[in-house]
Amino acid sequence: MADIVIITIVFSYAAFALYRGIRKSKKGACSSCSQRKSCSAVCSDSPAPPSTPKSK
Amino acid sequence: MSGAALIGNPNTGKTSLFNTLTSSYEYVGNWSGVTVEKKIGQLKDKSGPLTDLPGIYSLHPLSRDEGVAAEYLVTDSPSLLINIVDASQLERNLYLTIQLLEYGKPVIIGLNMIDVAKARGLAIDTAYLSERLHTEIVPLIARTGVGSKELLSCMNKTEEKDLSPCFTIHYGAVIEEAILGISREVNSELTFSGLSPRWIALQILEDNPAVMNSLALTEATLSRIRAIKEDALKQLRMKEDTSSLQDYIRSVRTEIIQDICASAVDQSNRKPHTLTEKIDTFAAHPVWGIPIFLAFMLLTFELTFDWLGNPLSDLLDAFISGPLSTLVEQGLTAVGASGFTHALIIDGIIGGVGGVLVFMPQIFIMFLIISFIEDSGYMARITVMMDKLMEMVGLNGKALIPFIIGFGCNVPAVMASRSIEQPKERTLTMLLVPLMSCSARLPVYALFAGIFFANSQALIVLSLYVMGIVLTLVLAKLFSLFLFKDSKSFFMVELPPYRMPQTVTLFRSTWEKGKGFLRKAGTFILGGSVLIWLLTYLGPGGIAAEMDDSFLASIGGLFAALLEPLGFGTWQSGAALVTGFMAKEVVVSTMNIIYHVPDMAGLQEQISLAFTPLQAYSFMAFVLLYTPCLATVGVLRKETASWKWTLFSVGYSLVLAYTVAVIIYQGGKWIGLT
Amino acid sequence: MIPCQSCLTSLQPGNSGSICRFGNIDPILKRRLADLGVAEGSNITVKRCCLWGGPILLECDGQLLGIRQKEAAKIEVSVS
Repeated sequence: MADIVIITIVFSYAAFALYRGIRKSKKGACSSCSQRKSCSAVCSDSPAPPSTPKSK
Repeated sequence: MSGAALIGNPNTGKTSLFNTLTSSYEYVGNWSGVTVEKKIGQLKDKSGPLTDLPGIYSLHPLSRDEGVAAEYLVTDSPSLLINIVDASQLERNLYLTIQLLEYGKPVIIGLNMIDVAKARGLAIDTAYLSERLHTEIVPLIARTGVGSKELLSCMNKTEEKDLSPCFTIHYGAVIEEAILGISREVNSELTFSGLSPRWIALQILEDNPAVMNSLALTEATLSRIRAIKEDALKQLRMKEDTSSLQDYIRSVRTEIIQDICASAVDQSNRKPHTLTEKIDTFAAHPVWGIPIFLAFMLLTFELTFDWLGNPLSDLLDAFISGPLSTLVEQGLTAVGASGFTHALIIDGIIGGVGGVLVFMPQIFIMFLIISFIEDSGYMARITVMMDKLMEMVGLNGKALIPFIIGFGCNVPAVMASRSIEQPKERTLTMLLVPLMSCSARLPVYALFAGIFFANSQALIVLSLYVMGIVLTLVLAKLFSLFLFKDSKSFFMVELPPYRMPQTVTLFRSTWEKGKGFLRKAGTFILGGSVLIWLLTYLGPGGIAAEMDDSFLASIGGLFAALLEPLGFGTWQSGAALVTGFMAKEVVVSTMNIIYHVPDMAGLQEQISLAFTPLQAYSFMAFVLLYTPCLATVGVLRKETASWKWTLFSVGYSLVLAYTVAVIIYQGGKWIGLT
Repeated sequence: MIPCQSCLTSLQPGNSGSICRFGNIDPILKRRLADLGVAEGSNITVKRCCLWGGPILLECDGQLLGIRQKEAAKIEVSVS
């Protein structure tokens, strides 16, 4: 009984951690950022703004 | 309304203040361009959100991080601006202040670093300043938190009263008329923007690209605006000797600032930066500067490995493989777990995650030293000393900042490249950052060098870091010769005064960096370890009797032949390298699981049977160079905004890693090493 | 190095002068310098020259900064 409980917990947590980790990593930037929940700028799915035009 | 925003010149302590006001721990350092992205936090007293912006000198951006701040003002329209001003550099800081006062929203000036100003013998008459600028001024020492309470209460007061500043500069008849004309045009198109039309008109007259792009005016309006500007410039030229409207507006502002500063700042007791000058006599010495830097690097590695890191690491290993494993083992037996569960927990999780966690001391020491460099002001000196070398290979001295951050982690390093002005140098820097050996590669070195080069571990690891740097320089030269059209380049860096990093700040930023590693170990690496363990447990024919029949062996075997010329053509190496793409620590996890052994000593024995020292060195070099990890690829894609460059960076590093490893192994064999 | 009579590079470390003209320097660099308060009329001190033609360190009104010699050679100063 305990066996099944442990195995279920371990595998579901591992699957969840991997899924979330890969999703986060693909976006880059945020995996190690403490503000990643509130930061709208980096983590949004919108593409990065084009680089700022330089003055002539 | 998006609450209050912190805005000011680079390196004036905005983020330090942000951390105090919102109880967060954002990244701080002593150089210009630490913050490259806006950060949002909740104020301590729950009165609203606070936004921290990258530092800017004026609203007219020259680099990517500066563009973030200027665009924010146009699109987010904060209700209150907190302008952080460096009291020891009042005159140049006030230029931005004037532009912010023209913005039309309430402004509070946080006069920061009054302690530094006092130490330099500058006395500032805040009452006079406040009267001239028509704003509240709060003296601060952001590093220690002095004045933050006063600032908070001042913010609440200002928000209640909603005082808009009544500070205006009269720019002369010609400009004023142009301002009116442009305001009229802008008003007819943007009826509800909530921005001051006078401010928009001035920004347009100054050709601010960030503001103009964010406004998205129609072509018809733009052409009318252009006509107004041309007309104004023509009229202005009849009266004044000026080359552009921009220059003229700047000169009017500068004159007013000088007038204000002449009365507000008492410079009669002014002293030079004695401490900074003394340190610079050594640290930025024309001859000794570079050897001192190299000696400092060597010291770093000795401390990280031989002196401090390894003994601590051994203690941790003894704990994980000893008491911890036994405890878990007993617990599992007590609840009557099966052999499968035993193997999963002990071999999979403790083997995989524990094997990486063992190297936590080395990683934390490295982070501590990086934080010290960042916080002391030495970083900017390194950029100056290395600029000549960097210029020769088509990079900029400023690229050293991302490179040094890259020793911690490549992801923030790619972000830090934002402060490099020239697009060519920025792209080149981002492409090369992955060659900086990040802390995730450290466990691999620590493991292998510990086995094969126990006596000179620090030197061997240092040689890998140096290899990364040398290859960076060579590739930078090649790439700038063949991939980029030669564009103009310049270098300018501000050198902040040195200051002793505060212990609290130092440990906090080390912890903030290290936390990422621990979090990764508990989530991503744990998940990866379970997956890898499962792949070794199962095989095409069900449960694999021998690990050589497992799925992992078949996956690794695909690459074994390809890796043969490099000296490590085994399925074990192949599998470790493939899984290492997720995160490079996973290379070590995989090795631990494959050679499932109870402790480090056992693993070391297994590995020393499977590798020769030469093969081990070749393997370490390959791990250093082959492909950036998944997270770095993600951030490269985001920052270069191009799949082409992202794939290029993966591609070139694979080719480079292969070539270098072949040269090391075959060359080594040829000269008779084993 | 371009020889010059009255440019920044002709100053010995420790000496100062007042900027009278920016020659043909990159407009972005000129803006950056202006941002730091280095403009026509500012008083500027050469702190030290780096070896091997590296950047020179300057001080303007308490602010230390480094620029390449190539660019410094285009900035004309008058020593009072």
